[in-house]
Amino acid sequence: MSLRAYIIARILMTIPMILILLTLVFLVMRVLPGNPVIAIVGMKASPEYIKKLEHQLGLDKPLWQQYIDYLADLLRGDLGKSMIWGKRPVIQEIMDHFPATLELTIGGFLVSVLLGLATGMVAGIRSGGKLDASMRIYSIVVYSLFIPLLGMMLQLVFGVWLHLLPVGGRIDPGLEPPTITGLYVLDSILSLKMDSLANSLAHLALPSFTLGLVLSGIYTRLVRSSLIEVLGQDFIRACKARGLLGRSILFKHALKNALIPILTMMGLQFALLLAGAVLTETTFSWPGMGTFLVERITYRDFTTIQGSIVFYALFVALVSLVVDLVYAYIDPRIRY
Amino acid sequence: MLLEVKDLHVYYYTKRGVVRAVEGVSFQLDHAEIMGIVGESGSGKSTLGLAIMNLVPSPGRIVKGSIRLEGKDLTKMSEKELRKVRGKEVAMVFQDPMTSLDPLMRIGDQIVETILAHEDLSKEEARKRALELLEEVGISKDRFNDYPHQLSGGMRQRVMIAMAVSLNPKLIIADEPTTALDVIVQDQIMELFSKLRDEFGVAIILISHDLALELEVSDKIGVMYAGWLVELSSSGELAENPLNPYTRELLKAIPNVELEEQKLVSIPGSPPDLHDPPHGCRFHPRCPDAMQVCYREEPPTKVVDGRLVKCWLYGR
Repeated sequence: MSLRAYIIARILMTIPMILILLTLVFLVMRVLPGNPVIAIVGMKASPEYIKKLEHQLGLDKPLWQQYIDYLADLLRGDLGKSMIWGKRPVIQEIMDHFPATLELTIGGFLVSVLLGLATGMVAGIRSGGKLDASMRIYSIVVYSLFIPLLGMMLQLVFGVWLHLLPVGGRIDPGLEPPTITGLYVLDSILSLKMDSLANSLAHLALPSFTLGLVLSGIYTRLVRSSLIEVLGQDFIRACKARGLLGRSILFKHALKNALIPILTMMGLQFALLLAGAVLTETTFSWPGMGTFLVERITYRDFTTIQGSIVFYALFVALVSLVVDLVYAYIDPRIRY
Repeated sequence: MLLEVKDLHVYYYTKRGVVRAVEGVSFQLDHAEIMGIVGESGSGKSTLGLAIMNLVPSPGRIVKGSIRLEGKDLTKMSEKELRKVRGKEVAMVFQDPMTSLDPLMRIGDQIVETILAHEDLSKEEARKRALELLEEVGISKDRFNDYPHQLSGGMRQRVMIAMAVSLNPKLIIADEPTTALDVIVQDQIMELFSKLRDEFGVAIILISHDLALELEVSDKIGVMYAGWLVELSSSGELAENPLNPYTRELLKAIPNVELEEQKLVSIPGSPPDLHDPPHGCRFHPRCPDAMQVCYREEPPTKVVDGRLVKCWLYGR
């Protein structure tokens, strides 16, 4: 199979995957206890009023009819309207909050991968030595850190004592760049506003570092074991026998091969990060999906919750598609 | 003289103790000569091959002896100097072509990479040479962009050989180059080696457990047993008149399809554990000619009619 055929096949495969995801979300939301209408109007509303509202929301239709309506709406990009908050379209509410989470996730992801690769490589190359032992201790220590505690310590040191970095928020008021992607860093670059760029990066620094440091421990371990395994393989010895430079053996051959199992982890981690950034968002008053969703769940805003889950599901499907494509690009054996 | 190995000792320092994988091995090799090294698994023949490139894997170490390539002692070279010898002057072909190529890199690029690591050429020139080399070893040019998994075992070994000859080395060490391949491909690869020797004048050390194969292509053959070189002589003499009892037993064990009797002959017993080799001669527990002295003392290496033999049968 050529690379192009693989890509097309892989994209086609996401369609049934997404359909299953959407069906699951639909069913789970219908099975969950609690009538959404009562959640909106309260227990004391008259039965007629409840009937009327159920009709408005389409909840009196048979289940299959609801399912088809739900899919049809999704196809049009319609995730419904919020049950509270002035009936704003859910997709608009998500778009207000999701870019913040995505920006934090990307930041944390990059920090974790860079730290993990560096520490894991040191440990892998020096396996069995003192540096290896210290890197393994590093991985356990950072992985067991509690994000709010670490976040607050960093806020105290870099924000309160040293006055180097802001302790919360995404950007100082008035500096927001024009919305293009919703990612402040990217938008600042696209609109060439350097002060916005510096300011948003400064705001991003502590939360990204907090999130990234904690997650880097996993990569340290993975990179280490994967690298040790690859370094023991025949073709590495063959590379040495061919007289290649040590660093080109390490980077061009060993590391590339070692990255294959790590790539899977990166995809999974990225998806987890999106959902798991809640603690970081709360600690740094980051206006992202985490804080937003927790708030809506307490208000039982069913349409918003359902819409967000669907949105996340689609995004995770997209991430896994990207991971598989990168896989195929790096490893020619996968295309078969 | 191209290569002179003198009193080479290679030990592995494992947790269980010291493994004396190669002990007191000496031989010489001329330009364009093919030397076979034959022995059972664990006889130290692969370690000897790696030692000649000074590539013995940890926890192994060359503890004694010298390896002179045109006078320069490889055991005394820095890693930087060794890098210039490896691939350029001495190349190696490994046993398993399936695992000896980087699975993520196109085969052509791997050849180009090897050339560029040693020679100051442009990418285009290196590419041209790589294409010629592929042709030389019998692989069509349009395989240049293939990945290793797209080639058969025999083709991969040809790629390894193309890579090995890419810098016109003086010596190629081939460690069981055909063990993972079927018999027909094995013949083709052996022919390729002979052709390379005739055309480029490269010397070859052919490491194998297959004495019949060695007899076909080698000019001379060294027989290894438990880390010792127990006999070294020209292939013809070795086949006609083996000096060491071990060589004699090995020759008997070669199956002969022309004989009526189809029984496979083997040497009773198994090779010793090199953590704790037998006292005296290491072959004595399996030797049909063992004498009193063989139990007590290590045999000396003697020169008999210009051949080397390490056995008590030839006196002190």
